[in-house]
Amino acid sequence: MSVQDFIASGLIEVYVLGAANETEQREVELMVSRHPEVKAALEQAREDLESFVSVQGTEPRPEMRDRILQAVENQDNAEEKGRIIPLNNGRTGFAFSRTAAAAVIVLLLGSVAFNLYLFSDIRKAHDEVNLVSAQVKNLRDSVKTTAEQKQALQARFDTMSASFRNSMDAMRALENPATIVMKSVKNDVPQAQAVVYWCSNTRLVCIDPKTLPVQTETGKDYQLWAIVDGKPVSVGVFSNGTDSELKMMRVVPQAEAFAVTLEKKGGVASPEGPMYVMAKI
Amino acid sequence: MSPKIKIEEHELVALLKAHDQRGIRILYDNYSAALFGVISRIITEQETAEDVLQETFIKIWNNIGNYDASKGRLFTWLLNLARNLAIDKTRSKDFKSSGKVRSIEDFVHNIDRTSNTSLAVDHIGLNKVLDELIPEHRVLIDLLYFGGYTQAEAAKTLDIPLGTVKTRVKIAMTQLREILGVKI
Repeated sequence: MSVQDFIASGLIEVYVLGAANETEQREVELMVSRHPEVKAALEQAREDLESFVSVQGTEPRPEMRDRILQAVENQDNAEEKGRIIPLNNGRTGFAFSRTAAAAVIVLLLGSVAFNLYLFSDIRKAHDEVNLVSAQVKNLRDSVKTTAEQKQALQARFDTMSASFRNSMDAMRALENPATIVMKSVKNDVPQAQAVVYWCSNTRLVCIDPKTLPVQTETGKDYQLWAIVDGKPVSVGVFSNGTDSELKMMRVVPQAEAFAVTLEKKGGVASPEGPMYVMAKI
Repeated sequence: MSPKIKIEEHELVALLKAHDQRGIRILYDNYSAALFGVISRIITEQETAEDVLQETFIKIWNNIGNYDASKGRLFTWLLNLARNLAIDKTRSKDFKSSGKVRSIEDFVHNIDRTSNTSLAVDHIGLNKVLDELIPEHRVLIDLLYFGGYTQAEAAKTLDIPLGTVKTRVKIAMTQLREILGVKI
């Protein structure tokens, strides 16, 4: 749009009447800043509107003058309450008399007493500073503790994420698995159960420790065995921490049964420890 | 109307910015009629209009620091302040519920009435002058400026296409300039 078209459009007048929307306002302000002709047209429109308004002026009732000027003045009084009133200028030069000397001595004594008072006050303040710095130290310690807790939480989170990833991998590797529930064969843990998922096509075995007792002593691992031709073949070791997870073991082409024993860490060639759960296929 | 005090605008602004009480008195004597004229065009109820006039002067007094002479004349700033306060008042909840909001009929039919009440100018026959404005132009200026209507609202109220609002405003303001320029 050319400058002339812009001036002829009526947007300037709409702007002056306060009826331009935000985009239009910006447009007018931009044009005004760039083109003196537009600025002149804006001034002209303003003057026209202002004379239009002026000739329609309405005198307020005479009593309004005092009322409004009073209200404005009250605004200032309210403000003044917060203002600092300067102290009287001290008068300089004075005659020194005995009375004055006596007064000075009294003042000096008073000053000593006041200093003593101040001193005790300073001690109090000092104690307070000590107390505050002790509190600051406490706070700093607790910040440190928080940082450590955060680190521990982060580590735990990392462990859990890894374990979740493992489980997901195991799940993905399994396709139409056969579910083999191994039941307790150990009298002191009759509720113990673990589940073997045995993939029908890949023959991959996964173990879910389920309700196998959580291992508290270190240096031990559960070991999964496949019974092939009457002989136990190690499928692998697994642990059962507090985060029970599905664990991918290895491919077992065939088996007549599965069993879990508790062995020393890392597993053994043939079962030595107690058998916990078992299932025949 | 009190005689207007002759003072340069920048001097008046300086007085006001210095929070000199003389400034607000001069301001009142010179501008109260114009400002009250605008306010009472927007709010017909006298008591409310007077309250808004008071609010306007308090706001001028407190906000004069924001006035920037390089952005426009003092009168423009004062008018905008008064108009905005009055329009805000008409949009406030208690005002709406009191049924004081002006209708289009008010704008169309009260032209004579408002311009009859103690005019600030001594031009005889000003009514006639303003009546020379084609009514549909006059009403458009009234709706936008005194009614605080948006262009879309005005178009809807007057049942004209939105696209013609600006053109009509242009014509109306040009006509206004001619009338005021010749007669005043």
